Amino acid sequence: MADPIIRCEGVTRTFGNRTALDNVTLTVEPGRCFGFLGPNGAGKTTLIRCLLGLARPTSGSITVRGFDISREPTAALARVGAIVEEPRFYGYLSGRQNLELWAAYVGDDAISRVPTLLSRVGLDARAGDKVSAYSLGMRQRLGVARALLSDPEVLVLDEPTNGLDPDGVAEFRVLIRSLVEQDGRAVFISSHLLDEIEKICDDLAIVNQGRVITSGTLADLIAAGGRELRVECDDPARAEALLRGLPTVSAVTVSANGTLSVQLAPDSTETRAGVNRKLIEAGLAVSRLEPREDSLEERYLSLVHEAGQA
Amino acid sequence: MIAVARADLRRMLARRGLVLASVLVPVAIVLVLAAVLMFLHTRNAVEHPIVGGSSFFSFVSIIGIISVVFGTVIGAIFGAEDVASGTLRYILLTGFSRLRLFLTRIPVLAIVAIAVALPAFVLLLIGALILPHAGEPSVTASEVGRLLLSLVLNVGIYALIAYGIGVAIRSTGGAIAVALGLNLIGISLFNLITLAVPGVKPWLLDSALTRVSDGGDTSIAIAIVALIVWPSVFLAIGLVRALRTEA
Repeated sequence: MADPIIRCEGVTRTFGNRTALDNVTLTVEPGRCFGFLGPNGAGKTTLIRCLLGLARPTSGSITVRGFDISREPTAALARVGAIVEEPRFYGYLSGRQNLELWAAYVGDDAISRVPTLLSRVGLDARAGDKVSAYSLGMRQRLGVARALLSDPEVLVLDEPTNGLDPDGVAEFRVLIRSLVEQDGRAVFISSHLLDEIEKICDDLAIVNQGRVITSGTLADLIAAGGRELRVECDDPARAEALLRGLPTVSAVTVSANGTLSVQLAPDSTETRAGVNRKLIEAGLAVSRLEPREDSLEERYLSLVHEAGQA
Repeated sequence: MIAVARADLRRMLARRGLVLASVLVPVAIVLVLAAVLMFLHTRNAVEHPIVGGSSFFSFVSIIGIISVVFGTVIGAIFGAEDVASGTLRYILLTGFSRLRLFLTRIPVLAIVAIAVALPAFVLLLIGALILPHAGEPSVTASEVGRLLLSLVLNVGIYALIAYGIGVAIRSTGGAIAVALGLNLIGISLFNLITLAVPGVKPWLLDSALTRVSDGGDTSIAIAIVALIVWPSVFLAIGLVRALRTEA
């Protein structure tokens, strides 16, 4: 596996008595979209500001592209693009003039990329308009174009779909996935929007009160939750009694239409086929048996609730 | 750095309202003065024989005051805008350092602040040369040079002071208020010190500006040092804040 493009180790950031980040450790792999998910005030923006060298961690270390952000910020940020909190521009300049201005800061190569980037984010037709006349969605897209000026290996986006309408969110999602899948860039997105993270990200970390409470691939995270089977058969009452007796089953409920919801114990190795075999061996005719995994929302709420109780 | 300076210059000039006001208000004052004097001259040339010449050119002091005010506003905006508008963090993310950013903008600001004051000065000079001024001495080259130096120094130095204040205060409105207050009232208050300590007078900004452009019997070396020290102090305060501020 390639070296992580972002590595945070034991990052803590305090403001007086308040701990905004508490021993945060995570890695972001190249060519992956990483979601940093947490409720408002969980420390997402603080971590992003630390990642980008805009704020200094109280303790811990952050490397971006293999460079320590505190010691070698210029090298670390040379191919990093970002939107922090919200995209800010000079409203009295046009979209094109804004990009040309930032391109001057990035370097000569960046100026030649301006027309292509405006086209890529779908703003070429409005590039001559003043940014003060842009909608939030257009400013977000212009923000992505600005973030791409340095041809970044990694994009860091803080709540990028805040305030966008559903069409804007969908367009933005397509744009971000194209940056990952077509360009092979890594994208780090912070958000409190579960649906957005679930649709865009490959990996994620969930943060609450400054602490990372879990991290990994989206699929693994969801799979680690409680497993449930939906079962339909010719004799729900007998099936319920049978399944309740199995040590690998933690709970069974029967709905009004006779469908059984079978909750497998979290540490159980029981498989769908195993449950099916036991039902058939008992002489029951199984007409439907399908798994139902937790949604990200259920996993998120469960994990945040558990962390809160702890 | 030249590409950045050029881009920043274009950005400042794109603030058309501010730039046009800075150019047109002094120009309008010159035109109104010329129109009034010509009107009086046309009605009664005996009572009002002089319109142009040195008398007309002496109005450069009014142009100077107006241009210093606009230079101060431009300097304060230039210093405070990026933090106030949230664009600073995006500049820093390009890898352009705070120090380079701070230093690159000093010549850009000086160019803009002085450039917007020049059209009124040129118009005033043209008026002094072409408007009737029978019996009145014409404007000399040394007088033009002296007053141009005075205008450039006043506008440039007060703009740089305002820039330092803008960077330090980080709020555009607050920076404009403080810089204008300091320029219009605060520095004059320093003159009160001279009542108690007369030896301080050559070190005051107004005295140094007058000494360099208009001459006098105090030390020219002290005046030049004072003209360097005054903006440097405010720029240093701004730089310290710029290097420490989280974007």
